Amino acid sequence: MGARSYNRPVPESGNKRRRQSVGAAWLLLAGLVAMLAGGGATMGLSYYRRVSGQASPTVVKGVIVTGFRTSVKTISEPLGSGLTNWRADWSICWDRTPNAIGYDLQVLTAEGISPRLRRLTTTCLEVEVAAGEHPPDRIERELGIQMSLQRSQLSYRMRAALPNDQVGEWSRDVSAGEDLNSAPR
Amino acid sequence: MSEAVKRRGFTSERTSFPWQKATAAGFLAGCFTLGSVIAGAAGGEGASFVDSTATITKRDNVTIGKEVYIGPFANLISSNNITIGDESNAQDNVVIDASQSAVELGKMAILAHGASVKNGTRMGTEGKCPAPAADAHADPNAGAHGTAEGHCPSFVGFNSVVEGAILEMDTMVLHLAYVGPGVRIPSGRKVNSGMRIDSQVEVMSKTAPLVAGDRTFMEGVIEVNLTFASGYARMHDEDSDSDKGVNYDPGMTKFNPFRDLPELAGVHTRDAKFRNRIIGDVRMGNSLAELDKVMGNHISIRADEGEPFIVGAIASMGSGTVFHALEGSHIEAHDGVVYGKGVIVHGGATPWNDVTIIGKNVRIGDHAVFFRSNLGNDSYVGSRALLQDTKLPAGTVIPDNWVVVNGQFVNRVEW
Repeated sequence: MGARSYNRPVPESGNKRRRQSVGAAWLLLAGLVAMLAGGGATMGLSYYRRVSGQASPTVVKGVIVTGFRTSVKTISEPLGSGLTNWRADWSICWDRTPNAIGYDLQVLTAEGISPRLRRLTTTCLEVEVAAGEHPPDRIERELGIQMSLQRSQLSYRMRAALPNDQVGEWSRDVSAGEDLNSAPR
Repeated sequence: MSEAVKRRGFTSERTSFPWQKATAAGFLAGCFTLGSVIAGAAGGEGASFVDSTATITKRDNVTIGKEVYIGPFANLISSNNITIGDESNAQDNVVIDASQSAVELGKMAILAHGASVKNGTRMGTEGKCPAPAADAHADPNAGAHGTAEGHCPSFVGFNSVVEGAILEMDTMVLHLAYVGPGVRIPSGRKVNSGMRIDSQVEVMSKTAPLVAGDRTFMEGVIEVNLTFASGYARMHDEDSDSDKGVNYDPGMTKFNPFRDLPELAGVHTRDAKFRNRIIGDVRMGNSLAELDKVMGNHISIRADEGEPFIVGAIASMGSGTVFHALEGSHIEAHDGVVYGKGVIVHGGATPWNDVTIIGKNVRIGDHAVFFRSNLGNDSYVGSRALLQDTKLPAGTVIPDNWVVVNGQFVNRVEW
C-alpha cells in the first residue's frame, strides 16, 4: 500500500514530560468545557477541534450528492458438469453536482469507517458484489445471499469536491448491493 | 534507538522498527500480562499497539511488524514462534495458538473478534494479489490492493477457527467457519459463513470467488485498525493506565473524536483495575460492583467507534464476550439478557436507524454472533448461531448452529 495516504491524526509534539504537565491542564480544561457543553465525561469541544482541525477542507453546507440510482448486471457462462460461472456487478450513479471537480468516496465497513478518501472523477461507481459457480437454478438464491452479505459488510458515502479546497456535505450511506430503485429516497 | 519502558513493574526494551522483536528479559515463565508495546514513533503514526490485557506466553517467540493492532484479551500462545506482519490486526479475544508449531501471519492479516488461528497456520504469506481494475467506472479501491511488494489483505471472521491451514493472500474465512489441518485456501476464494473444511477436495464447493466488494471491505478494515494502533498508542503514551479496565476510548480519530468514559448505573466510572475492558461511551444498568458479580472474564465492551452502547442490567455475561460497533451506529441491549461465552455483539448500519437491538430477557448461546440485527423480547439465539442483518419479533427462537442472514436461513454451522 505504498501509494496510500491516510488521514491519520497528527502526532504529538514536544517532550513527554512537558506533554504530561500540559496534558493535566488540558484534562482540567477539557473537563470544564465538557461540563459546560453538557457532555458528561466527554473530553470536550476543544478536544474535538484539535482533531477536526487536521487540514480539513471547508465544507459547503447544503451541497450534497443526491439522485442515486442503482442497478445490478449479472454475467454468466456455462461450464462443464452442469455448472454455470456467474458474477454480479452492482453500479450506483448520482446526479452531477454543479461546479464539482470530482467526488470523494469513503468506505464504510462492518469493522469501521476507513479514514482514507478515494477521489472519483465520474458520477458512477461499479463494484463486483457476488460471484460463483453453481447449477443455474441455484444462482438466484446464491446471488441473494451474497448480496445480503455484501450489504452488511460494505457501504459507501460520497461528497462533492469543489474548487478552492472546498467540499460538499457527506451523502447518505449506501450499502454495496442496495437496491435504491424500489424505494426512492 | 532504544528506550526503556516501564510496564507493570518490569522493564522492557523498545527498539525502532522495522520488525520490532519483543525482547523483554526477566519475565516469569507462563502466561503474563504483557502491557503495551509501542513500536515506532512515540504515541503516534507508525506505532504498533498491544493492549495491556493481551497475554503472551513466551514473548521472545513473538515478532510484531509495523502498525499492528493487538486488541483486548488477545491470547498469543507462543511456545513456538508467532510472526505478525505489518498492518495486521488481531482484535478482541483473538487466539493465536502456536503451542505445537509456529504460526505466521503475513502483512495485512485481519483476525476479527473471537477468531482463532492455530498451530502451523500460515496466513497471507504466499499466493497472489488481484490485478488492478482497468475499468474507469470500477471501484477505484480495487486497483489499490496489490502493492509494490505484492501484498494484499486476508481475513478471518468472527469466532472462526483456522487450524494448521494455509490461507493465501487475498482470501477470506467468513464468520463461524472452520478450516482444518493441511487445507490450503487459494488466493481469490472466500470460505462461506459456518462452513467446515477438513480436506482439500471440499475447498471449491465450500468457498466462493472473492469479489471487488470483499477486497474493498478488507482494505477498509486495515485502514480502521491502523487508526486504532496509532490512537491507542498515543493514549497509552499520555497515560499508561488508559488501556486498562473501565476507561476512556482513544478519541482523536475522524470517526470518533471525543474521549468518553463509561457510565455505570448512572455514574461516570474509570477503574483501571477492573478485570474486563469497558471502553468509551457505554451506559450500563449495572454498577461496577454488580458487574463484578454477573460478568465472566476477558470481556471487551469497546465503544471506541460506534457509540453509545446502552446496555441494561445484565443477567449474566459469559467470558470472552465482545461488543463493538461501526461509527454512527449504536447498540441497545435491554435488561435481563443472558450472554453466553464468547458471544460477539456487533453493531453497524441497519435499515432500522442504525441501531442493533437486543430485547429484554433474550438469551444468547455460547459463541453466537449477533450482527447488525434487532431481536424482540424473550427470544433465544442458539449457540454458535449467526444472526446478521435480521429483524425478528419477540419470542423468536434461532436454533443452535443456524446461519440467518437478512431474515433467511442460509445454512447450518457445520462444526
